[in-house]
Amino acid sequence: SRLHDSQEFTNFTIMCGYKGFKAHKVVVAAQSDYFRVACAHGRFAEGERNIILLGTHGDEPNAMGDVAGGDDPEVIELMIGFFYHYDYMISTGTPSNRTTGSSQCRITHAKLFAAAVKYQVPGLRALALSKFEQAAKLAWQDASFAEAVRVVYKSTLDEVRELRDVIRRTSM
Amino acid sequence: MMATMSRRGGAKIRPPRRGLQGADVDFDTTWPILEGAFKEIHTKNASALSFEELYRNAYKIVLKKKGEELYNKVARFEEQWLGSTVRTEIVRTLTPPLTLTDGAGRTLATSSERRTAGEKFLKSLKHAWEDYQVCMGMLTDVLMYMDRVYCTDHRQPSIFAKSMGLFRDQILRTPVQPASTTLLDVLTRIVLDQIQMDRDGEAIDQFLIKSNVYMLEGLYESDLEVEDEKLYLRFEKVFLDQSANFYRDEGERMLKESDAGSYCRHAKKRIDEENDRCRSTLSESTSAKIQAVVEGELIRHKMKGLIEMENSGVAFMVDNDKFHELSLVFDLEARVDPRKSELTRAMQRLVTEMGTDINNAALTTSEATPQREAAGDDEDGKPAEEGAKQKLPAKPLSQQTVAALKWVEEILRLKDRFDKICTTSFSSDQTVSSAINRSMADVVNTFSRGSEYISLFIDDNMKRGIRDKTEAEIDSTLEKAIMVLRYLSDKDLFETYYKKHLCKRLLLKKSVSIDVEKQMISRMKIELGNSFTLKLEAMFKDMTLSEELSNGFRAHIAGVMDGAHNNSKPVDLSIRVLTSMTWPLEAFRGASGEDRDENSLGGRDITLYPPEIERLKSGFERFYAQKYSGRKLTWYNNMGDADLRARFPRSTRIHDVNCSTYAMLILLLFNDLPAGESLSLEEIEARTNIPRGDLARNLQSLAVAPKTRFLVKEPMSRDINSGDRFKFNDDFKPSFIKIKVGVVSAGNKVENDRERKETEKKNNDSRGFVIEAAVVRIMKQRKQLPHAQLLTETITQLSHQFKPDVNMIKKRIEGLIEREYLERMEDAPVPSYKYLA
Repeated sequence: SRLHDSQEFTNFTIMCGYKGFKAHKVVVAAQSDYFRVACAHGRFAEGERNIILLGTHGDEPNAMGDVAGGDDPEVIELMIGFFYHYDYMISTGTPSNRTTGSSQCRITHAKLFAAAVKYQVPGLRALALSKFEQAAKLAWQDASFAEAVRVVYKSTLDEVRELRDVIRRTSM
Repeated sequence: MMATMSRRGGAKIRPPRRGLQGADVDFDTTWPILEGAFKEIHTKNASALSFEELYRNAYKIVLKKKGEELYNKVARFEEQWLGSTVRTEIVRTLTPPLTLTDGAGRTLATSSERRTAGEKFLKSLKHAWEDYQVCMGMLTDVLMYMDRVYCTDHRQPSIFAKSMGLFRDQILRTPVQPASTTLLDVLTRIVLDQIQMDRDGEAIDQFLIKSNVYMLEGLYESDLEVEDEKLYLRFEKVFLDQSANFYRDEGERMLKESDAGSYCRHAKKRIDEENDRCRSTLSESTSAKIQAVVEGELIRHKMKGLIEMENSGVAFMVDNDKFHELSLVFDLEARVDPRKSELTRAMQRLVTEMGTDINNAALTTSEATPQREAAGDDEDGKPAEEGAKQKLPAKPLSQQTVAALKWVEEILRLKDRFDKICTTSFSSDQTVSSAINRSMADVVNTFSRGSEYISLFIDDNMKRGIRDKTEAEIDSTLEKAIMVLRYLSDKDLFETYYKKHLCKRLLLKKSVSIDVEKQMISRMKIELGNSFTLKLEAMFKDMTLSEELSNGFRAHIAGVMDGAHNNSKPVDLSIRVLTSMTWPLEAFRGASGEDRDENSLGGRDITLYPPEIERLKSGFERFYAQKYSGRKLTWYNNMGDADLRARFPRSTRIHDVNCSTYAMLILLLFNDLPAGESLSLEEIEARTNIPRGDLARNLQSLAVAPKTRFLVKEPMSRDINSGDRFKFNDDFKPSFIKIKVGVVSAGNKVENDRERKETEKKNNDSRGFVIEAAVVRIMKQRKQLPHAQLLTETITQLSHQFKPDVNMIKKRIEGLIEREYLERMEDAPVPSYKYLA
């Protein structure tokens, strides 16, 4: 984690939207098979040039409510934080969102879960799931819960059961 | 909501976009992007591609639940790529040297042409495979999401496995031309061809072949990728079959053209070669299988032929001490047969053959009648009945004794020879050693005179052989006897002979060293047990006791003589008192077959002694009776000898004459005879009561044999007849101061056939009793016993002494039933007996 803060010896740049992150290939590739390929020398362009540009959602038309392929830079930031700290902290944001803090968190957990699936990060997948479960237990009657549910169903394949199972369990 | 989040923080900076032209998620627009990328990957231009973009596109498709279409599209793409582009390249390398074959499938090109062409093909295939592996790796990376999410859930093989299967089908399994061979067949044929070149000593590119083997090991019969169904196994089977044929032929050829030693070396070389080949050219997993093939064809099936090779096989090796070659054969057979059965059998055959030769040679030698010595001659210069003339000055051994000694030495040499082979060439292998020992035992036991000859061997050594030998040498001689004795199963027969021979040695003082005699006894005790040696030890005890008695009697006489009889010189008596039944005195019967004791008439000694001797006899009898009451002494005059002092007219010295007791009696008669007078045979007989046979023999010694002709016989002839007259020989000129008159029946004649048969018969009779005693002992203890078990136990108990004949045991059991020691049990499941108290 010190490595993250110091930014020393970084050799890989991850861009997502307006956010750019400097990282260490070793750290990142060790926890994600996707990045293992991306960082690899002699395979694709990213490995040769040591920079990867993750497509953001919203680049596509019909971006509203569509998660086809792209990512949220904030989510990516949290994910990269996870690579170094094995955890992530969601900042509660502006005071106007305070009341909906926990519901926002739920959505964020869901998104992180989806990112973990997409980018093949098993550690993050498990962590996000448990955080989501925790958050879902509180204030589930909330309207924002519906939003979280929508995120989940849209961002992951039917086959990815875990998040849906949690939802189903909490709804009962 | 998410849009809000993304806009938090101000103006969005968009990174440069690549490839995407605002395309929708429609499959038909996305797929060409991927397809184009795949082509680039296959043509090695991947480094220009964006992994992120390709991955995201595939990810999109899967998320839109079009995973199956994507999977199928990829599969078809690969199929097409392999079938046209890749395969064409490879087929191009199938040049004529590889394809032109004659009717039998052999190519018509030279081997170097074939090798070069083959290498081109192999290189092409190897590159195609290796490239394909790399490319598919990259494709798998791009399609990672589909692989892990769609394929697992829908139980499809991973895209990598699927494409490997396509490689197998499109490249290896598709016929080169319609209805012709597949590339897999071509590959197999080329590899086997090259391996054959390798076996013939030509250099091949082993690594190239191994690379192709890696390919075969990486492919499976079906997309299920079952471990036992690797494509390599298909190749392996053909390889093993072809190798088997090759080695079968090679083995046959070598048996005809080569020699055993070279064959062994060659076989080992081939085995090592194949091992190396598996490591360098094929696959280590084949190592054990090909080894089994080579061992089977070159060794197991050819072992017998190898051993029996003329002029170089095992028989030759043994005859010529080829220890190294023998060890090669041993090692070779050990690979396929831990018991080395063929070699063992061959060794046993050789032992039996050579042993039989030794036995036959001994019989021939013993039955040969040489010109001068007649069969049955004794050792000490006494002429035989047939009347041999001059005796050689050195004491020659009888032909029989020579045969006996030779037989023992040869047997030991045979044993030593094979022992050496076992240690040197067979690393003292237990199985082979035991088998050889069994054959040695058979050799010894099938020889009818074995027991007798072993005893003779010891006898000769005790009398002469160990003279002037060191302790170590004596030890080794005794050990030799024991070694041969161990093989003997008829130990009781040996005992009979040994007692006989020992008896003679002791009584005639022929032993070089009593100490060594006793050493032999203790060794035999260890080998044969106590009961065997008890009687022998009793003989020694008698000898010691007799020594004491002689000394005691001497002292007694001295005391008595101090007073009376001061004018007669004391006659020194050396007495041997033998416990009857301990000593086999029948050994002292004459060879002519007189075994009745003519000495005694109703138990009394009727020989007529001169008064001095008579006094000595009764004196000793009284002396003995004082020491031991209740014992009866019987005098054996035909076995004694006497030392006389004699004066001859033609010599100024006093001579010492040693002769038999009977000879002494005869000579003393002439002391009181007036000069010039003679005695007739009948007169001598009447005055001494010496039995006729002994009388004749002694008179021959005294009147016929030139060196001891103290008497003159009229008429001068060799035989003693009625009416012959004898007088003192004034003309006798003694050559030496000490004269020994030959004692009849001094040597141990080797038995003639009649005697041998008698000894064996006696032995068999006593065996009968021993068997009965054992049976009764066993039944008494066990009360009831099945027939089979009774037999086995009896045999075991007696194995120590001899090997009982099963029929003899049966007969004895019958006898015991008759005499009501046992009875048959009527209602037992197997035939059984019950003990009757």
